[in-house]
Amino acid sequence: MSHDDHTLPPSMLALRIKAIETLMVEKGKVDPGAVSEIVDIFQNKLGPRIGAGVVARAWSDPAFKARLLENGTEALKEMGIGGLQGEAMVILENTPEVHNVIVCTLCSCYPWTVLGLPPTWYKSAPYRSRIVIEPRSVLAEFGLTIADEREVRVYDSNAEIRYMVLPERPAGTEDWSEEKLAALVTRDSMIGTGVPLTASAI
Amino acid sequence: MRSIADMGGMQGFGPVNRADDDTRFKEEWEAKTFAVNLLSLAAGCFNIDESRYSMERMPPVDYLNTSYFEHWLYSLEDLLTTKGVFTRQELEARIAELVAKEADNAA
Repeated sequence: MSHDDHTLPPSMLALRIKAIETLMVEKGKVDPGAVSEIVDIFQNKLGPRIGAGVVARAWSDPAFKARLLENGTEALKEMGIGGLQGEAMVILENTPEVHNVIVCTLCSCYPWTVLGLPPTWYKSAPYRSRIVIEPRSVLAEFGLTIADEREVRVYDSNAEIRYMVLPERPAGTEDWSEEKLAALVTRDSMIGTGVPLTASAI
Repeated sequence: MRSIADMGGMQGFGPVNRADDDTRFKEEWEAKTFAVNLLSLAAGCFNIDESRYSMERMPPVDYLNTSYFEHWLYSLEDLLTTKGVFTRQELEARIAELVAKEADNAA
């Protein structure tokens, strides 16, 4: 028997988007092949390793860090990282006094160019609704306890401005290479729901 | 008017499900919906503000009862038809064709 025997008809959702895709190709609005190219970029080429490289460079190069905090969009261009829709990038520096965390309460705006696609929880109603009113409780659920005297700032992203958190450099990494530093930088540490791994972790 | 999408500060949605940590598309239609959206933006069929506003106007009960990428699909259909890139009739006819083709293939 052929392996197609058990193939179920695609769902209506699949048919609806296929209908749109074929119409768009026929109208000359979308090039054939462009859809799979975009999916490949988002699924396989973009991701938090890019952001980790940015963080590691900022930790290693004070002049770059200054430029990054001054104008994130321009500084990222130096590393060949550009906005997909011309959106501006703002980098938020964590300090002993301030912990930053990002959200998009309206939908799912996320710094795609440095982190790739967002995790499902980032797009979920509980995260979007709660992080802005009880950030400390939500962060505690992520295993992150922020001292009472440390300010928590929540940044609500939008279509034009995307934020990324620059986490604090872990202690004991003074003479580390950028490559080694980047290995400590987790995706959640750049969202603000986590912190980098400690020096002893690798 | 405050839209259902304006979720900041709403209560009662329960804890964040951290275990749902996947960043990959779960189904092919999700990936396509995402990509066709970006390509439509790039082609100038609508802009990003119109895209978000369209999602925000989704009937609230539907918004809460559907998945994330269904919101995107809803706004894509809404904008491409209201902007006249193609008509709702063209879209429904194409869907009917695809359904018929699938039925043929299954037979």
